[in-house]
Amino acid sequence: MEHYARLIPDFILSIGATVILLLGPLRDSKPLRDFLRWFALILLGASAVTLVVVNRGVDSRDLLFAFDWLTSAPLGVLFSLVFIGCIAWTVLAGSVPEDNAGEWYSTLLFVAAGMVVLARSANLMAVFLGLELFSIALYILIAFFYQRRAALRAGAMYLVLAGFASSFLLFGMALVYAHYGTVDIGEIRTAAVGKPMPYVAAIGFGLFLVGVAFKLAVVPFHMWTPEVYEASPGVVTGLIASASKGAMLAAFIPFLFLRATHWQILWVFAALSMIGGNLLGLREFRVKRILAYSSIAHIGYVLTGYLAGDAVSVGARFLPGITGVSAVFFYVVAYALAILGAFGVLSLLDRENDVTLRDLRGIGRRSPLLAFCMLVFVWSLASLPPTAGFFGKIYLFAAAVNQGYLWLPLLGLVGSAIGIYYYLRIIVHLFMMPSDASDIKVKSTLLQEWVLLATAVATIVAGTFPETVLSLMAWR
Amino acid sequence: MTTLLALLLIPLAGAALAGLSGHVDRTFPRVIALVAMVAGFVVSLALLAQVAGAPVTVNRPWIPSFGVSFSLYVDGLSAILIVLTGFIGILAVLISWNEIKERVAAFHVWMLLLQTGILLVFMARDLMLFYFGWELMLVPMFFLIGVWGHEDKLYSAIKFFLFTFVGSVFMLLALLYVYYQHLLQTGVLTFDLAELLKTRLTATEQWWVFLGLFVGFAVKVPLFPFHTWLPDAHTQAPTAGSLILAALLLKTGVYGLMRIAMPLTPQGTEMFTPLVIGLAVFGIFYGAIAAFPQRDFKRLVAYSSISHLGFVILGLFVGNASGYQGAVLQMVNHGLATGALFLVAGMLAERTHTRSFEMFGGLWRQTPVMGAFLLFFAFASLGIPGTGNFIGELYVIGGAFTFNPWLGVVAAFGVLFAAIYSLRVFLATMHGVESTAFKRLADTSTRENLALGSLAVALVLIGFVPSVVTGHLFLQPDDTVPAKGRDRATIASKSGVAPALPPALPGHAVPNGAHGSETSMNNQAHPAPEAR
Repeated sequence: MEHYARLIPDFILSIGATVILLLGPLRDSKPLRDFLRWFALILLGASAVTLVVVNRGVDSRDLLFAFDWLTSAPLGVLFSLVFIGCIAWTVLAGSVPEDNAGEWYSTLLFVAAGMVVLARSANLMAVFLGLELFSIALYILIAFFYQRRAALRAGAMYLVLAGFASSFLLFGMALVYAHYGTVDIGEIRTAAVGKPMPYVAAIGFGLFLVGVAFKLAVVPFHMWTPEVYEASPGVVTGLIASASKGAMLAAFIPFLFLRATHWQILWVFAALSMIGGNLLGLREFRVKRILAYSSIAHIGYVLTGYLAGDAVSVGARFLPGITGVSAVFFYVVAYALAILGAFGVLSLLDRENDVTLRDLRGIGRRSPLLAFCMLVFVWSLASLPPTAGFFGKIYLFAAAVNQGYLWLPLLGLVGSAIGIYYYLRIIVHLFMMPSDASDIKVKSTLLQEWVLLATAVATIVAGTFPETVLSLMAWR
Repeated sequence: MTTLLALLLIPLAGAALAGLSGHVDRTFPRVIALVAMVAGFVVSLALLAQVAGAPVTVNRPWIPSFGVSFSLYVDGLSAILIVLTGFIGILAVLISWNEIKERVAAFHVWMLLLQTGILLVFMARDLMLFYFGWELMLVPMFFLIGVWGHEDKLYSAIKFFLFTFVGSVFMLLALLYVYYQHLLQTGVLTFDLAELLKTRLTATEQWWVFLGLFVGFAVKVPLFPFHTWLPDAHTQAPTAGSLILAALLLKTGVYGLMRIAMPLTPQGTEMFTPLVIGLAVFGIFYGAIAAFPQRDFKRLVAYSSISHLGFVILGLFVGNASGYQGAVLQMVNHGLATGALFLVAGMLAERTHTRSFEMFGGLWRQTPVMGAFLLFFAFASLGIPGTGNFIGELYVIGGAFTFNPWLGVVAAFGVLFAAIYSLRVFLATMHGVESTAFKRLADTSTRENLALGSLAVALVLIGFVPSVVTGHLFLQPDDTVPAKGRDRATIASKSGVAPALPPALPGHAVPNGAHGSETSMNNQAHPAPEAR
């Protein structure tokens, strides 16, 4: 019974999502839409609180059920809280859809449910279940405004390609199971560490990596990113960039033992993404695609930190308190703040798609507050102080240097230097270009402005007091 | 300690208020900015009085896991520059009163943030804090040029940003390397300069570290091969931007060299000294020769800055007390005199909407007061006795002469070149055939007279009583000047100021071996016979 109690957060999310879905079609009125929004927020809050309560002080090896699907490991819980926060942010900052409000909030809650499962998965099955749960919800969200052809196209594209990638993932898992005879990640780790890996398992994990790399949009599996980012509703793009990738990373952290056998692949992924993503961004003039390419580069930085692993460096090391994992956690938080905010601002423009740099002109003059928020977000993406991105990158690279990786941080530095150019372009167009023919309008509610301002402030606070974020890692 | 925090918080609070007040009225941000700047200036004067006793410090933990602390340290040198910052800040607000008509609130917000960044750079003892301040200066200036600049503003703003940013990356790498070496040697995580000075670095390491820091700082100074952003940025910036750029931002580069690069890597400094001196001397002539044929008033003054800053760097790297004092004097004098020339250029441009010498000529009849001011500042710029520039250049040339007589001779010729372009500024605008393009230009207003007059008074004051600046140097045994101990101790006793001993600042007492044994600190702490 006690074990069932630990599923309460998941029950709240999935049952709540179903209830909202049923309530939605009742009546098409503004009060109902507003009610659904706050109801969704309350559900998310309740799930976050119960998540903390039921997992507090539980031995992380004490797995749930006979199936051993979910762990209470602090890091997984912490990541889950971050993703619930991202969903709550999206509920708050996204514009209320005129119709289908019920479906919108319900789907968002399903995304949260999937991510919460994925982040705490202890088992290959749970990885797949969580991944599919939120991916399917994301297909719907991408094509939510299905009247637009581009949205449908992007939804279908993501569906097909993600399905393709999932099949790789699943086949990889099957091979791994075939060799080790278990789907429990802990048992696999015990069996795999310190021994040469036979071909079956090595190939299995290789295919598994392909699936992961697709979800993370690592070069060379990044092709879907610009298209999907461009066509999705702004806030959904923010979710794909932040929480969706973050959840995959969170699920990937128990597989740190793969660094021993597959580090070359991860190394190449990281290097290609850092350089490729930034180079691709240079020629682009559509803002959402620029941010799409930048997100590819950012995953490269994160993989650099991932390669550093969870080993606490011994002796006098650069930033001894920082492990690769804690750096990755910090970066996921810092990046989520910045990219959610940036896409949040873009979603307020009255034309969602094909927004070019030119269209940004004059926004600095017409809505200075939002433009200032955008400045902070872009600044953080460019990793300049005093924003969260600065320490995020310092932590990642420091962790990598501590573990003897020197070339990756150097490549990362070169990549960041290239990236400065297109970030600067966004700022220049926002503030400094004369607004000639731009007809684009900014529509924002007071709530949205406050949410964005709060996000911008949080970005700066996390950049000036990074330890407050890191201290969360010590949570038990 | 409260003074330091107040100095940082006043412009920040001013920025917040100015931003909020923009909705109410367009004059509000100006008034708020002016009040904040004046308040900052008053506090900075109090600070100057305070440091005569002992350096003012703040030390609070900030990010312990990274060894970053909120550590401020202000001694005489910093205090002089902080007072200069406060003074220039007031003028910058005054001079923008009529010039800036668009987005007034945002302009003043950026200006106050810029002020905060500059003050942080002049105060920071913790190198990560210094880097924060360094980047904090970058953004506001980028916006001041890019939004309120003249016709080519975008190009100049981006060029300014990229140059400074790339430089700062090298600087950050060098700082991180020293931090890492210090960690390896002592196991202590710290970015505190006083602690990092104890790091033992081999000659090769020092060479590289100095190179990294030098690139970062020399871009800002700017020294000869890194200077190309400066004429563009100066020319395109609004008047207040040019003023702050010339008077303060360039000084942060010199300050970084003095405070961080040279003390951290004494051997590296020594190895680079011939090269840097060569670049500085070349810069003196290059700047002067490039300034002369310019058609654009502000561009001419910008090139003259390169020449003047060459003197500063020369004085700094000859490594004796005379050169050091001259460098500091020239930093202040250049800020005042060149700042004033930019102000005049801005005033003329505001009235005539051009900066081209070809359009000017014979304006004296229409604007005699401005002409008089221009005459004075042109003379100050060429170093006429009675102005601070004369004393500063004298000190620098004296220092160069001590270092190498021929160097002194060559540097002295630089002054001659300064005369040529400085006189041209005056002749091309005020003398000659009266320009037909402008009729009845308004002469300077009271506000403008106030700004120019205060600069002139300050220059004359330094010219006759240079100890208002130099008297604040060598008060404490600071670990910044690569000077011979005996030399400095002599000067300290000659200037009549009793060398005060600071309370034992942890880690501040003994810098690293090669360097510390030669500083006057040891002489003062344990009075050596020859020093008294």
